[in-house]
Amino acid sequence: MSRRRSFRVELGGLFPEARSLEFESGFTLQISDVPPEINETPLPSAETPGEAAQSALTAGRLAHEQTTIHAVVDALQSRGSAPDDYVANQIPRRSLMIINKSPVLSSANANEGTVRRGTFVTTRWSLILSGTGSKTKEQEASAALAELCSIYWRPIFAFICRRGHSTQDAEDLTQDFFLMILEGSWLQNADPSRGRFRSLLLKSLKNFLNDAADKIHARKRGGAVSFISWDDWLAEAPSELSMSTQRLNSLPPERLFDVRWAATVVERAIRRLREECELKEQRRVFDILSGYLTKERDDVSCASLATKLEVPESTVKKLLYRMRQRYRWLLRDEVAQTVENPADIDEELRHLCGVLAASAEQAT
Amino acid sequence: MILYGVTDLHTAITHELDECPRCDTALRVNNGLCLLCLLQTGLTEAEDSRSESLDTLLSEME
Repeated sequence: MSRRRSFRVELGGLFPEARSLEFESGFTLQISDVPPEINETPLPSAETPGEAAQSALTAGRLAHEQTTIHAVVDALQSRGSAPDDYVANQIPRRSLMIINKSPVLSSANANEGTVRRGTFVTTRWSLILSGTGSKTKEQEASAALAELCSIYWRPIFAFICRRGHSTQDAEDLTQDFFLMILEGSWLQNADPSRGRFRSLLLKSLKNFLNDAADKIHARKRGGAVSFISWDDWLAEAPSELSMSTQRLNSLPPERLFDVRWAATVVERAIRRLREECELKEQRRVFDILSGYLTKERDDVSCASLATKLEVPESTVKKLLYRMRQRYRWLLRDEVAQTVENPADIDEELRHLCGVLAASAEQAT
Repeated sequence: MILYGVTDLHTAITHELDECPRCDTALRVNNGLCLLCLLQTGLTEAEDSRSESLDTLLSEME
């Protein structure tokens, strides 16, 4: 492994609570919500980072949050900038976000000003696909796969229901399918050339259901293990997709799977946008303006919204503009997690849009 | 077939939802926004972004 000599910490000019660690390799690690004590700690530049940071510069490991936390801790400690056990205890895991210095989506990159939040790096799916060859990589890949499964369980469950299984059986089969995915050899067989996460998952699900009857009987004999905590998942991400019963019943299983998938992607992007507003204690801004995220609502009266928010009309226009732009980036980031290359984002989005449009035509 | 209820799979409603005037589909999420329009937003060209970010604007409102 080559040695990296450049390692510096910079303050986000517009975001006093944000910092980023920029590596010569092209990776930037952004840290949000850093305790003020760290912000006040000067860090010299152009020094060799600590050993863990050095090893974390390999793409595979750097892509893993936990590894990166340790890398940051070691790096800061190696420079005498943070006392032992300090950073690890005070930087929550969720506050770390890894982004790539090399712009993949330059527009989104510019969107976030001096703190480069707008670019994509190793996606969950690419991490999964690269997760063979070492035990560490396999563990990272398994964790990423489990996370993707926990996000996209609804399309799978919907597909199983549409294939004619009862709700109870569908819940059991969904559990069994995830167990097969997470504990079996599926990961090793996830050949990049076989497609994206969505299409590969659907293909695997169809194969899995081919002998579903045997699986249901086996489960009823006992001994099955649960992977899903339904209550937790439902509480974490309640579905907000609305469609008429007529339309719902007209959709074949594959199309329902994709519709449900598209809804999951969109709902997650909106949820992240809401959380970002909440982080700034501006939930009310989200509540009032999120209904105007699409150009379907271009009839918006900024004057009326300005009155509700008690801000000038010009501020409403800026907020709407930026909120739409941020939502767009979050949406693409969600899609990016399920494709191997950022270049595939548009194609995946077009596929999902095509499915939704076709579903509308079918129902008429 | 029950696709909703305890599983929270969909909010299926008995009447037909209004079609989106822009894309003619009737799938809605969250606060009534059109699912297809929300998805298509990801395919639109990014607009000029030289001014301040959403974070900055929100911070200024505090």
